[in-house]
Amino acid sequence: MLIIEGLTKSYGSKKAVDNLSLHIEPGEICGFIGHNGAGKTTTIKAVCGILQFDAGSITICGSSVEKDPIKCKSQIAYIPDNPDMYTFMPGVKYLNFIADVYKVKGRNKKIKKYADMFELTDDLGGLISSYSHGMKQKLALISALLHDPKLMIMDEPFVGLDPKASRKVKDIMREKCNEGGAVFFSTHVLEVAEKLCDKVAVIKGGKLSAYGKMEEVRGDSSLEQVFFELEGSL
Amino acid sequence: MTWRLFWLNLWSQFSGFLVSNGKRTKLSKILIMLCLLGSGVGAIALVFLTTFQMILDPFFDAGAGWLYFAFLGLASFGLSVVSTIFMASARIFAAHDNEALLAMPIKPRAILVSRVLVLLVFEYVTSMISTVPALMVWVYYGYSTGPSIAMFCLMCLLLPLMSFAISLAVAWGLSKVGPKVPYKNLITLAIAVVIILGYIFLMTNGERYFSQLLDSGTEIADAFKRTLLPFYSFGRAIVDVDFVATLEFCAWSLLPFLGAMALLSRSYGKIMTEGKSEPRVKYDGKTLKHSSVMVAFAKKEIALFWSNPMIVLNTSLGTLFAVVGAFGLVFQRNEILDYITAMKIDLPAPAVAAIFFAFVTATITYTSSSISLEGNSLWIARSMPVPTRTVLLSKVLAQLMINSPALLFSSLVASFALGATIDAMILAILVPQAAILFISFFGVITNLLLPKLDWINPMQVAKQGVPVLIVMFSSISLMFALGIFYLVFLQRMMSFEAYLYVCVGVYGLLSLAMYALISTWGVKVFERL
Repeated sequence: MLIIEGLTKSYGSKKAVDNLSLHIEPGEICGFIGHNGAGKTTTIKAVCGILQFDAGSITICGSSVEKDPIKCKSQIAYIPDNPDMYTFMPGVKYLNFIADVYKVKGRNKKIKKYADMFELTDDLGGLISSYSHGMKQKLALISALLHDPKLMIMDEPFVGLDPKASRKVKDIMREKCNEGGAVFFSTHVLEVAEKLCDKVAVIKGGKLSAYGKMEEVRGDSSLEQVFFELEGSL
Repeated sequence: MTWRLFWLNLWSQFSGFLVSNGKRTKLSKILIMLCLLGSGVGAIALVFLTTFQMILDPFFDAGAGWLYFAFLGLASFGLSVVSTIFMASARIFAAHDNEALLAMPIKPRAILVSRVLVLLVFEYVTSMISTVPALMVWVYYGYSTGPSIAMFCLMCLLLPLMSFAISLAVAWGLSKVGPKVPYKNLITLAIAVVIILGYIFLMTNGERYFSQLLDSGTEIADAFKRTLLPFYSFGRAIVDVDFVATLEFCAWSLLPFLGAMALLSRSYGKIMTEGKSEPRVKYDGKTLKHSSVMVAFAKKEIALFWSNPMIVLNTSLGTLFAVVGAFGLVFQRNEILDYITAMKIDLPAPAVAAIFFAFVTATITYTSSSISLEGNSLWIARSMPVPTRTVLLSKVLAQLMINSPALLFSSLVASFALGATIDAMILAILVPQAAILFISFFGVITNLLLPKLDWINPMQVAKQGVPVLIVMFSSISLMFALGIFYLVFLQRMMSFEAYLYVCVGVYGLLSLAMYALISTWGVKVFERL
């Protein structure tokens, strides 16, 4: 589903991501953890085709992000860490815009379904500028789900969500994988990653310091223990 | 702290010149931008210079030199009001960093004063567009004395405070009343349009009224005292170096300004922390309409355009001028034709209308700020499965969808009002349409060269953004250059109407070249933002 090989990206003389490789198969949820500035968002943006990289390759569903970005982007949904959206639009117009771009069929039903799920239906008529952070996050999630993406790429998806919505997102992630899709997401909440993920990738200074099946990486200890050992903080 | 915030605000406004997309701008690029800006400012200053040259001798010869300065005062006052009346509200109350600053141990008054000082800088710069040409003409023709020049400088320091007081009072009023008023954007837009129309009326008729006043001899001063006392005092203070008039004008300018400042500083903290509540709009579940990707993006741009009355006004002023001009022709046809004759413009009226409509398109600048206006939401367009070219061209399409129909309507109205032939009507339609096409593409390219995504207030990019100024001024310069080229090289070889077709061709070719540039270079630049 997602193959990253030797990804390298520098900002000036600083290597933000250094020769990073990882594979995510259909049906897998892969958690991406690391401290602030480790290179998580840079990697995620490169995968989504919104950040050019210096070396390596990224393949989504068999297509190269560099060679065929449009095809790759049509297979994925990206939710950034800070959902800055078109605040001048009402929520429903924004979703209709997304539906136009992804050529979503049966948009009315889908919008209703997901808006009901995240309890946002009553607020869809209001301007996004009047939404709280959590409501914007919910809208971003709805917009990401509208076109049934095969791969969901999420940067800190649980920030700002209430417990009920967080639970629903986790259910959707698992559902997506059961349907043959995959999820790649970054998080700082190690407990969530430990419970939810099939695979985990730990990034430190732009390099992968651990990567593999959750059980293999974690071993007999907790993910938190492993993470701090890798970081050298314990 | 006030000064640090002031410099920070000012830097954020002008940093577009020196830093673009996180990188230092090359010196050569800065010089080109300054040349383009300079040529444009020069063109506007030239218009003022010509006007002041026309009125200087008659006014001074009639012993009413103060009327020259009263006219300057009125023109400068009007220009400042039009430029900043609603900007103050946006900059003071709607800046993105307000909450961050209010959460810091900074006095709200310091935040307010720093914002007011930045606005004041703009007020003075705007004022200089008219005051400097007036000074040059006055000094050049030898009517000035040392003390009167010194008084002129003092008065020009005070002059912008009068219009600024109005802007501050309006900002305060909008912040108090705005949240409670339905259709706030529409009402703000309507008020702004009325003010602009008033200014246009003043500028087009002012000189004539002043001449009429001059003819009425001894009653001039009384008439002025009754109606426009501050500008009477302004003129008298400069020409006569009159102490009483100076005091009067000090009072007229300083007292309203201090009053408005007192009003704002007393309520700023309260207004900013009382919280905003927007009426809840319930989703009605209506069936949603489908659009193509290009149209969906263009509709998104149009939604952004209409979301803020200041964006509407500042990026489509030319369309407003065109519509006003066309209706002006309907209702004041003979007066305008007499004016064209008096100006010794030896051209058919429809051709003059075509040039006027093309000229006003220079102030249609939505595309020049459309990339910057994406701000933090740029990731949306870039993460979508849409060719970058489509995203960029949708901005051009949006500008054309917003302005072209109104320009077409204006051309048709003007053509009918003037009884134009079919040939002349075609020209009156083609010239402004070609100009708007060129300006739309040019705006995208300029904004790609100088994007500013980290703005604090959308007005920073939509009104005072460097790309907007460059597009506006260099488009005016291009039109002047085309006119001069005709007068110098082609006047004896072809008729002006034929030359206008050449101009349409030039605009068309330039647009085609820019279309190709956006599709290749532009795509790469946008993807690197």
